[in-house]
Amino acid sequence: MTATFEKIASITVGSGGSANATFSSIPQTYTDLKLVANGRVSQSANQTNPGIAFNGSTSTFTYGFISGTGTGYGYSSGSSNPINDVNAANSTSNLFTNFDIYIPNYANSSNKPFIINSAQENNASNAYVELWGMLWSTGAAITSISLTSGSTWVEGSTFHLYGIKNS
Amino acid sequence: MAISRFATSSVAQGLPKYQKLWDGVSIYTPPSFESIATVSVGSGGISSVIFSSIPQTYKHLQIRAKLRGTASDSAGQSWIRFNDVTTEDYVWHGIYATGGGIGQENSTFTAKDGVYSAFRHPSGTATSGMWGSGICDILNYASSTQYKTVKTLSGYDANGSGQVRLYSGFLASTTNPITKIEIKDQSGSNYAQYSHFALYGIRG
Amino acid sequence: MAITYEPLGTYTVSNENTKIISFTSFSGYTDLVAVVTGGFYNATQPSFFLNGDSDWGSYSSTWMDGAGGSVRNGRYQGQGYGLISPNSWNDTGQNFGIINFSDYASSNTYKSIISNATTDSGPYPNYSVTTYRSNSPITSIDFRGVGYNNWIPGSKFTIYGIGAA
Repeated sequence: MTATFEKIASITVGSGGSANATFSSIPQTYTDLKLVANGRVSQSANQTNPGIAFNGSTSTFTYGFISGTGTGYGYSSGSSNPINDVNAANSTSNLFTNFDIYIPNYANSSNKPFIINSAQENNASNAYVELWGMLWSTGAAITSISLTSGSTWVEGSTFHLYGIKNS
Repeated sequence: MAISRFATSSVAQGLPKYQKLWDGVSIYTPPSFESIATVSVGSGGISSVIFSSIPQTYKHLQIRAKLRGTASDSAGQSWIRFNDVTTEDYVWHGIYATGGGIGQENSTFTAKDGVYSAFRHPSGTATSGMWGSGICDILNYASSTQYKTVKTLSGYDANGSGQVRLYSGFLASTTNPITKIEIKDQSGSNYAQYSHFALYGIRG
Repeated sequence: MAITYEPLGTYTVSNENTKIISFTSFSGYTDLVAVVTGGFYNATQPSFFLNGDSDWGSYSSTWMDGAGGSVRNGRYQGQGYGLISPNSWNDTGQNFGIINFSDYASSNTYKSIISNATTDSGPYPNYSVTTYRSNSPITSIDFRGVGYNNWIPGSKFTIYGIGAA
């Protein structure tokens, strides 16, 4: 019997880091996907926005997100492929961003709305809690997901892909 | 007005889908999302919710809660502590909305002896029957090299007041694995009977 | 061992005159999680009602969203439905929400429901909390548009049960 909330694959970034975290050859036998990530990048900043690609494509993404920093809040939107703010090199050491991406109906040929919930902490007055809504307007089944760091995902970053099946 | 109604029923009428580990046909694969422990508050309430001796065999934790406080106030909030650390070592941030306004908070301005405001809920003087709920995720809780970032989505609505919150936090003084979690109303008052807290482990 | 993430029912709209989708009979769990994707021919807010109860006054909600260039919030009192999203869902079908029904089987408390959703235009992320003012266990969930508009074919609904030890 197929489990209904099942780990498909996991990535733990090793020594030296990795530019991307990529899940390829995603089985098409589930209904939804949930990617649970604990990530940090090497870029010289407190936080930065990695990118996302489906099936190797970075185009036809749109986004809107609510952000609370602890000292302010706001909403931004656009037509490109960034995802939530994640801890970068100048933020508190050994601190990684807790985020998850839920993609429903990933295996059908419709456009793909999905949600990201994110918590990027820092031992400072500012940090970033965020709620993202995104849309990938390429009507294709998702067979690969890549999170592109823009620099490197540092050692210890983890990414777990789960399949959720509705029957 | 015509209403078209399509109904579906659960596959099993209230019975567990898998009654035997092996049904003689195929091997049961347990889900990666597994219940670890549950605290259901009985009569008289309880002062804090404790999950101790947390198995270190999962990758992530999730707490799912339904709660109400008993403090002499209409609303309250709860902190989360790890491994009995009570010193001023927690950092937290968040955004909230009441329906009548939006705000943000951080630990620079208030106490730091827990991840504050992790759950927002009605308290003793709120309209009877009103409850809050929340979902809290803690990733890589068994790591000994990383701080553990907590992410919580919570809120309540009391038909004239309410709040939704997205909050985060971490214990800044140690990267020790989390073996114990305590959840407590910041007022010090009990959680009301019928409050419910469930801890889940997610395999990685 | 408590069963978690057990699929209890799924339905995909095929008829263009479908206004309400009903699910019943999900005893034996602690929480329910519903995943809804789709939209309406005439844009309206997606919503739910419980136990066949669509009486005005049975529900109230507090919500926050990002839209129109800013973070917004609001509150609905004395409603006849709970919110999946405070934003209307259009006919593209590119809208999505996850709804968490906490301790749905309690016979002692009102019910608290958290929803996290997004719309295709914007996109507009949002989340909301709804109180259903009934101590009765939830035994049925109906999904509908606030205006009883027709769901577009392809709209999809799944409910999962999450048990607790």
